[in-house]
Amino acid sequence: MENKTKDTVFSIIMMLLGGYVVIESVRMARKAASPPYNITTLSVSPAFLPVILGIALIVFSVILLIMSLVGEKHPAKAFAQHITTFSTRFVAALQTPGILKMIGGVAIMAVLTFLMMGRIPFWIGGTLFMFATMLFLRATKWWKSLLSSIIVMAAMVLLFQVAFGTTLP
Amino acid sequence: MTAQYLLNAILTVLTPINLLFLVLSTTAGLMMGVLPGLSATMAIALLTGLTYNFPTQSALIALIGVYVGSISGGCQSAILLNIPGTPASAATALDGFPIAKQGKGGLGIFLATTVSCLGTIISVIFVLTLTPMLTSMALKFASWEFFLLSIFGILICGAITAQGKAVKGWISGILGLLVAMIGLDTVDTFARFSYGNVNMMSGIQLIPVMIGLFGFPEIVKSFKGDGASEIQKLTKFKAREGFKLVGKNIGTIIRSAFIGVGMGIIPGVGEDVGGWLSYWATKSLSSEEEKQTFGTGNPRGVISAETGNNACIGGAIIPVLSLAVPGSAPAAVLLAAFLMHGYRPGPLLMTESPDFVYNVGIYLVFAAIAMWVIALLMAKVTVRVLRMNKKILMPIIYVLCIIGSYLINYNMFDIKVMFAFGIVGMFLSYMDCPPAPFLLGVILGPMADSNLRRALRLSDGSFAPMFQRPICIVFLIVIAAMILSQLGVFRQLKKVNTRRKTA
Repeated sequence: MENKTKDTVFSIIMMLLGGYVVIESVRMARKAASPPYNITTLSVSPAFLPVILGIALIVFSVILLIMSLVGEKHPAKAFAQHITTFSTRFVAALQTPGILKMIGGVAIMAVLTFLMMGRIPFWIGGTLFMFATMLFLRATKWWKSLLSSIIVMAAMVLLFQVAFGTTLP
Repeated sequence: MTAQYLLNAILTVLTPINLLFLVLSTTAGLMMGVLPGLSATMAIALLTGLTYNFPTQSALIALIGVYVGSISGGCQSAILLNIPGTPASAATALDGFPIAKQGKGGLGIFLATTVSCLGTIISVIFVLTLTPMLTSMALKFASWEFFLLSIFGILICGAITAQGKAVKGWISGILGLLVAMIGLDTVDTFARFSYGNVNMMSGIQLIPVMIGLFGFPEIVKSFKGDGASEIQKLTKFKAREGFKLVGKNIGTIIRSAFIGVGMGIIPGVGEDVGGWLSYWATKSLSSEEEKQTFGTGNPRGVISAETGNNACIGGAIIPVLSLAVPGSAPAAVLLAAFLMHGYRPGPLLMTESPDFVYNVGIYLVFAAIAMWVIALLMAKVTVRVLRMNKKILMPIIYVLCIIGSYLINYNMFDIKVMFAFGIVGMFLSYMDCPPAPFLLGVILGPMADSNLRRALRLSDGSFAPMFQRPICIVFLIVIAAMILSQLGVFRQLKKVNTRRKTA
């Protein structure tokens, strides 16, 4: 994808984020001005640096947006074109096998991170995750995947739990 | 007396048991440094517990060995895998990985390891001889200077890593600074961006962010079969060629070591900043023609970054010994380890335990030499580990990333933070936005925030004192010049001037 297209979309997202940060920081400043904090001067308020950072984010995003549209005869048209191109290519990319594999992999990682951790012992969750991911990616034969997952997990438990005396998740 | 202390320290480290501890700890440190997600801080923290029952000197040797090993080991995965093993080696990856891609992985690792050793040894000279002078220089920094120093660090990092689009690097740095704002602020304990979540109130830990930003995208890319995360070969090379390159760049090494020590001595500014600043200085001082080769496999990039980050080790230890103020995160853990083993670093150290400074200096030298030998011998093993089928290796690395995120605080929340910042890292990577300034923002954010607020409190909210301090004025001029030059303002002014002259 053309760099200018990415820059346009990135700058818009960052501008929105900058706007949110400024609004949230103003709320923070108001809260800091009330009891028990009573900090009424903005420059000594805990919200001061976040406000500055939010404004800086907006300013730099505007500069990036201008840079991505410099040299275009019709900047407004070019802006709309960049947004359309990005959306079309993003949707198209979601249907390619490589991206689908990435999404599948991230989903398996999310299952381990959010559903298994803390609910089942780490050595079971970790082994299952490694085996499932290797299987999903067709890394090697299934029994080799299973064996390597078990060996690696045993080594990790030995190193961290037995040798270093730490507690695994 | 000094010679006696030095001789005693050498004899102590040369006993068989201490040599064994040195070799084992340096190897463990190297392995920790090589594996992405296992940081120097964590390595020292893990070993601190393990060495609790060791004889004091053996424990100190082991701790220093693991420190030097883990900081140096990060370069191997940075060069072969394009994933910095530790944040300290992030700058190394910029030129190290392209060197490996050119089929010179072996040479890249030799260079990085050799200059790492030299950087550490040069820093020891500072630890032993220039400690008082450097300490007094660092003591001149007050809140305003620390604030401007952190902003300067982020701007430099953004300008270096954004490959011609500094604005993107700066945006990335601002995002990192914003992440550092999450949690209770250090001055008023006011909860910022916490949304009532207790875990968020205690702030976002650095290690999960680092693992997420740098490790996660590489893991996910490997699922796709993307060549970008390909593990490069450790090719054969002639040692003479490596030594020649080191010899040719001796000036770069000395300059980078100076920068590294200088950055290390300033509290809170760690090995990563030392690496970045050294890299930036080398790039800036190069000819216009050579500047274009940085980021494409210029050996001077690797040499400056690795010398700089390793020289920080000695630099970071100087304030630990003289002021009991750590120069970096790993040095903070080391300080705790020193205290645990009965030493009281600080102004009274030289009267209470005068031999301690010399012991630390000598242990650092031996650790650097041991690291050089072991790292070069171990490189083949490292490659075997890193050269495994990516689809087998990456799930294993993700499990290590989980362990690395968890062990810092033994908190499940940190694992989720790592995953979340992994998604952020993927987004930044997709948008061609460098993640390094983001990480630096997270590292330097607390320093910037607390120092700015402290300074403003002392001046009743006025910025006037900032413009009355010489060091601040230098910082402000450099920052303004950097922003204006990166935005092309000087170029435009030059064009206008030329047009006027021709008219």
